[in-house]
Parts: sequence; structure tokens; C-alpha cells
Amino acid sequence: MTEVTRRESSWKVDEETVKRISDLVNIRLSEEEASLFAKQLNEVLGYFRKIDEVDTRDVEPTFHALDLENIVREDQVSPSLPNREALENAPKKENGLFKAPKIL
Amino acid sequence: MKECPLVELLSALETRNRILSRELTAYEHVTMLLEKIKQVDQRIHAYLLVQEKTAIAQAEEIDRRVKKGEKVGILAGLPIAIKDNICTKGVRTTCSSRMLENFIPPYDATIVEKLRGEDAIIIGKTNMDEFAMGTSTETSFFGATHNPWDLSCVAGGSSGGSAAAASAGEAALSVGSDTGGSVRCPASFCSVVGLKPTYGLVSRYGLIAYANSLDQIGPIGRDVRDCALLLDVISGHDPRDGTSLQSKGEYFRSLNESIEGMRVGVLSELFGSGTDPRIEKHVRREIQHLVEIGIDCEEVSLPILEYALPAYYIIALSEASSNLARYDGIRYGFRSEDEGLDWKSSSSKTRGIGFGSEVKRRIILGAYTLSAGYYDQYYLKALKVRTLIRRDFREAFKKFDALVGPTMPVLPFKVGERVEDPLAMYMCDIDTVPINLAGICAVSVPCGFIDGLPVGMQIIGDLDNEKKILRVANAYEERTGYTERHPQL
Repeated sequence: MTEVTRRESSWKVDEETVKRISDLVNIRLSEEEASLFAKQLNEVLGYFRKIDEVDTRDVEPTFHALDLENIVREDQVSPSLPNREALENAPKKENGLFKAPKIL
Repeated sequence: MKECPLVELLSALETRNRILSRELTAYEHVTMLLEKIKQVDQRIHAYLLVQEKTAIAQAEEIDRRVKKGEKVGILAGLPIAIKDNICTKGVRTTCSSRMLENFIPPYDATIVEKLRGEDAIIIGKTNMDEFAMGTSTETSFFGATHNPWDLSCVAGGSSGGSAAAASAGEAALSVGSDTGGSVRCPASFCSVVGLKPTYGLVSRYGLIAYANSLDQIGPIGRDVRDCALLLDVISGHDPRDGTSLQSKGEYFRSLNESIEGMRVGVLSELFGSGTDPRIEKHVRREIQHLVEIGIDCEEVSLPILEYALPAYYIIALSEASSNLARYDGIRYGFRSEDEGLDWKSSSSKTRGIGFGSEVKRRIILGAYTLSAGYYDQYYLKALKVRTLIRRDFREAFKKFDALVGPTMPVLPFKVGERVEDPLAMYMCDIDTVPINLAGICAVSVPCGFIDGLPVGMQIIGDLDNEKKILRVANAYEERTGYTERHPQL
């Protein structure tokens, strides 16, 4: 079995925090899920804080594994997906358009 | 009558040669494979979809062309299994999620175009962890994949279906994707060869994103030569992927170059405290084979790797929380009954039902580590650790041609054993994630068995150094012959 460092921490992610975050990412959770996730998030985030031990003063962040430069190309028009094909996977559609729920 | 060894377990290379020399027809081969799938896949569950009719039609077409003496591609007639997060035009691509249960892509991924261009047969789509989030293929909405060597164990993940299909002789070759070990882990657990190429070597166009800065498509085969052959086909620059590299090599052809005088570092951190002691002992003994074939081996330590796992998860989940925002049930995918609901309620309900537990947990964790007040502490800090990891690998590769150690710290575990404990599952990725953070390449090659369960050796190379690691893997394989063993099914 892999050993896991399970840290006790002074801060806690409570169910309210889980509900607030899940609301931000548009995921409806049941009460049971929110309670289970709060417990699991505490463990996982506690482990993530292991990186606090690393001295990263004067270290630049790496957003990307390769040192890529911007790639430019000629702005040429090429065919895009036909309307019918683009709508093929839409659960609801009307008059050649996606049908979304009301926003206001 | 079947020959011995079983025709479905011949190497892809040998199969192709027999098809070209007309000793074997593509039709005979593909029907034998389809028969095998019927025999074993109810127990293994490697496939989510098998394209029986089109596979047979394609095989017959190849046979016609071979008979007429026409030129055929280098994968002519070989049935290849594709992980179900890689888009196949007109063929359902689900990411093993309820969210994409009925998604039919309107286009092919670049690698699928390339495979078709070389006359490969896309035999089916393989099971995986939902959205590639997992280490055991147990988070699949459609149920777990079982290990061909011991059906009570997991096949590894997230490309568990692809590795199990190759291992069990249900495909000649297969394709997976590797964000933090998802090709190498199941390759190790199923005793096949799986490669995570250098970031950018294989186009990601048509690969459904999990964590863009880490995702990479990789080949899986029953031996190193087959894996190299497949890499020859799927690698290469693609203008449709903005992070695609210009490089492309003849990996297969370079396998026979000498390994004499190569220097390999035995990476101490891959034998860390969480490693099963039996694996440490076994892999260290296996490394002696490298010494015996003329490779110079020396212990090396990169202490920063202790922080690779948390840094990896913070970055991967942060990227995932943003990537998976696209699933709102409007343009494609699952949409819950939402009559009378506004946008926010409809989307939240759809995502609450459409995503499985692990996916929801990861999106929420990622949103947390990106959120105001925590961004610097988690995400930015992890990106800085990533810089240090890249730097230390770069230094190590000034001295060594490759680094070695185990692929996995544990043996294949029982189905269900770890599903309730996310952190224990994440810890299994400890030896594979550093490679993705650094963008470098690594291959897992079969290195024997402990109590009948497969063990994999991981050979790690610098950026664009696939030729070197494949050469080491090939020389090791020729010495040990582990890839000639197949599961009894």
C-alpha cells in the first residue's frame, strides 16, 4: 500500500464552501455529495499544501512544458462545419439554431 | 485450426508481413480478433464499441488491394483500438461519461486520419476512466475494465481498455492518452508496452481535453517494435494543434542502433517510501539486465520530485475545471429535463447528473485552487514547482541518456479496493506524473511478474528523445523476453 501523508490542518473546507464552489462551476450536488466532498477535499487539499515546503522565491511559473513561440499563419478562409452537422449533437434545436434555456 | 502461438497474439509487425505476403488474409485476421472479443470481452470489458461490419468490409478491401498488387499503407489490415476520448467521425465517442453517452463527432482526430491513411482498421473504442480522470478505469460510467492477467484486479487507467485490449489479443495495437500516466499505468498493469511521447510530438487535435498542458496521445503495443511502428505513424507536426512540434523521427528504424556506452540513471525518487518493497527489489534486480547488456547504470536523485504529485494534481485539476466548463448540454451532450428552468438551473442540473463523482470532485477541487485567495497559494505555487522539476530533469539529462525505475509503486490492485479513497488513488500516480510536468517522454516496458501480477519498468528520456528510450526498452525486451508471455483467457 502506498503511504499517504494525511495532514491535520488548522483550516477546514466545510460543506458551505463546497456548495459555494459547486455553484460557481454550475454543478448541483446532493446533500450527501456535499458532505462527502467536504471531507475528501480537506484530505486532498491538505496533501496539496505539501508544496508550501518548497522555496520558490525568484522562480518563474511554467504554464507550459515547451518554450513555444506564437505561431502565425496566413488568414485564409476555409470551409467550416455545415449548419446541419453542427446541430447534429444538440439535445434541443429549432430553426437551425441551438435551443438554450432562458437566461433572464 | 489455430496455429501456435495464437494468431491474434502475433506481433502487429508479423501480422502485417503475413498479410502482405498473403500467408494470412486481413479478413481471416480481423474475424479471428472479432471472435476473440466475443469470447473474452464480457469478462474484460475493454471495449465500449466494436465496429464489426466496417472492420470486416475494410479488411476485405485491403485483401483485394493486396491481391491486385496495389500499394498499401504500413499498418495495412491491422485492427487498432482507440481510446474513447479520441474523436472518430460518425462513431460514438463518449469519454466513458454519461455526459457524452450519445456524442457522435463530426470529424476525425488527426491521429485517426493518419491511421486510416496507413490502412489501419479502427476496430473499436475502448473503455477509460471518465474524462480520463482516474488510475484504474473504475470511474467509467459504463463499468470497470478488468485485468486480463487476473480478472479480479483493475487494468490500470485511465487508458485501461486500450491496454487490456492489446494484452488480451483483442487488438493488434491500441492508442491511449497520458496526462499523468494514463498510458504507462495500464501498460504496466497489463504487461504491454506503452509510451508517453514528448509533449507536442503527437497532435492533440480531436483529443477531448482533460488538462491541455499535460495531455499527450501515446501508442500501446505488445512489444517495443510494434509500439515504435505505431509512433512512426501517429507522430508529426499538425497545423491544427498550436502546440505541435516540428520534429518527427523514424523510431522503428532506429531501434537497431547500438546502446553501447549509454548512461542510465537509476532514479531514487521512483523507489520512494510508498513503493511496494517487492516492486523495489524486483525492479532493481531487473535493472541488472541493463548493466549486462553494456549500459552504464548509476544511482541518481532528484529531490524536487517529492513535490511533483501535489504540483501535478493542482495544475491538472485547475486546467480541468476550466476545460470541462464547455459541457452545458446546449451544443452537444447530455441535457437533463429542464422545462421551465433558467440557464443556471438547467446547466447545474445537467452537470450534476451528467458527470460522475470523480469528475465533479476534480472540477470542484480545480475551481477551488484557482479561486480568489487561493490562486497564489496553490496554482501559481504549483507552476513554480513545475519550473524546478523541468530544470532538474534538464540537468540530469546532461549526464544521462535515460532514467529508469518502476512505472507504478503498487501491483495491480483489486477492483473496488481504492475507489472510496481518492487520495490513495492519486498516490498511485507518484512515479508517472513528473514526466508530464516536464513535458519529456517515457515508456513502460514489461519487466516480469510478482505473484502472477505484471510489473512495468519505466524508461524516461529528455525532450524529443524517444529513439533513445525505445532503443533501451527494445534491448531490454530482447534480453528478457517478458513481452512473449500472454495472459491465459
